[in-house]
Amino acid sequence: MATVSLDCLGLKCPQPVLKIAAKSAELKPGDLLEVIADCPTFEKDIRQWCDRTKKTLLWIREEGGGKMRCQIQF
Amino acid sequence: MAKRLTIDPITRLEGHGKIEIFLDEEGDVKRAYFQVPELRGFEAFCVGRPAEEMPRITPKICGVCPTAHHICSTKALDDLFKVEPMPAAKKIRELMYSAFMLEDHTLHFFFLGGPDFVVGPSAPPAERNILGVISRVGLEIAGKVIKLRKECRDIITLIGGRVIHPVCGLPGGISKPLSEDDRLRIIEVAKSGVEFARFALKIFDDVVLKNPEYLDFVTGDIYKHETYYMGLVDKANKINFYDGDIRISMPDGKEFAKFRARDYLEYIGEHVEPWSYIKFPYLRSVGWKGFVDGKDSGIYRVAPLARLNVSEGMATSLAQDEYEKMYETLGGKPVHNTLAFHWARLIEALYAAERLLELAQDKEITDSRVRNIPTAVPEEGIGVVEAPRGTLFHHYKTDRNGILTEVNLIVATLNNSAALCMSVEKAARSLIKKGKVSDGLLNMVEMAFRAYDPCLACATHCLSSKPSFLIKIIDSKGEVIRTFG
Repeated sequence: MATVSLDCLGLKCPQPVLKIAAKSAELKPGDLLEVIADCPTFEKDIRQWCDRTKKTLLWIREEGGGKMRCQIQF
Repeated sequence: MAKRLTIDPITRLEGHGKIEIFLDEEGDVKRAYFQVPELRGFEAFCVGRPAEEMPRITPKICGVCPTAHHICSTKALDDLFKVEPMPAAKKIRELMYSAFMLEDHTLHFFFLGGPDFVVGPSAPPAERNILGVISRVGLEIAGKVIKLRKECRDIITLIGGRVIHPVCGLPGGISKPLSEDDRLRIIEVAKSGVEFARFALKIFDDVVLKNPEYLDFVTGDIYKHETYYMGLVDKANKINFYDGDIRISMPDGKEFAKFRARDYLEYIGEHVEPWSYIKFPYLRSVGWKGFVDGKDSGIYRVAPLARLNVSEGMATSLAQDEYEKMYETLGGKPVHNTLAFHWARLIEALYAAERLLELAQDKEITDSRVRNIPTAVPEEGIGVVEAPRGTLFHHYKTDRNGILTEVNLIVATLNNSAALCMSVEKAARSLIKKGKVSDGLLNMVEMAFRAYDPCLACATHCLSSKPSFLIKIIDSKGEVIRTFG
């Protein structure tokens, strides 16, 4: 089970979810993807993306300065 | 007495081009070339960039039709990321696109092509322009033209986020919903757009169709080629600017092919000539036979007249009436007369206004769900729309990270490039005899390309580093007070 990081800082909607969709091809069931982003709609988008793709959003939190970090289980 | 005539720059078009006419010893036309002497190579510098940036990069190809590139690119991203836009998002995109088509077609008739008819093909060049049109039709009508274009631009700005290069399109939808207040405001603009488009058709009727000399130009042989035609149609084979299948008709009007955008490379090939940077698309199965028309030549045409020729009618009632009137007047389908592009363009402007009204009257367009989240790994995406100047393809291939590895743009005017050359050469051969050339005759040669409303900036994806003309501001004493260019 691998943990992969993805830096989406500076990317605006819809780029973070596009990067996550592209990255998902490399991940196997059980792998963890940790994403940091500062797009204002990131939380809404990532919740919708996980819902649509049946992935588990383990947690999402604010890190100050408009940054959000989350972890997704594949 | 061999002689070479050069028209450089050609005028009242988007982008830059030139015409070279070579006369033989008798003073008749030996060859005439419609040349595009500049290249930017847009596809090449897009490679290596993230695909999602394309709807913001490609509109910069052109300042006249950026909305077409933006929407086509956005549709290519829908396909690339395999995400279906929400219904309201599709409607908002098409609404913006309809406003764009209405505005753009108005631009061509009143500013670019119309002066040849309204002011006259042989009028002094200083009068053969929008100012000459204003002096003929009056300030009140000119004000209507400017007002309509502004209102359409306001709709594009409202939805697109910017006045020239929109930024609203996202894979799977659009960046923001349409408010009820804005919807009601757009209805009013659309209603005045319908009236304006009908008024523009009346001007065409009064100025062109009721003038025997002009009608002879439109129906005569100087500006005529029997070619294949291509355009987007909906499921009922009616014209559609935003979506549908691509239909090709034969010179006799019968259907030659109907296919999805995804399959365009099976049907379209590109020929290259050493004397122009523009490529020459042709129908693969018919083959490239040189600059000749007819059933055995793979040259096809796009844009307003082509769209009307491939369709079985207009999807709105008033435009349908005008469609029937045009074919009845010009002897039935298909119409091969190049100058009839002007008439077809105004019929399309009416359709665009009616479609704008239909979409604005649809209350579902204000649904707040305007974006679907893409979930697929990108690989390859193809988008198609009908731009004002013809069928526009955007084709992207990416690696697994969504970084572009291949880009192919078949831009609207490019489809007409071979026909443009044929039309200019035929007009030159027909009009220039025994070395007799006048300014008016050369303008009539230019009328052969102007009917297509070519955008050579788009076709070569070109931006010249230097202007091709000078603008001088002269005061009341005749002294130049400022020069641009």
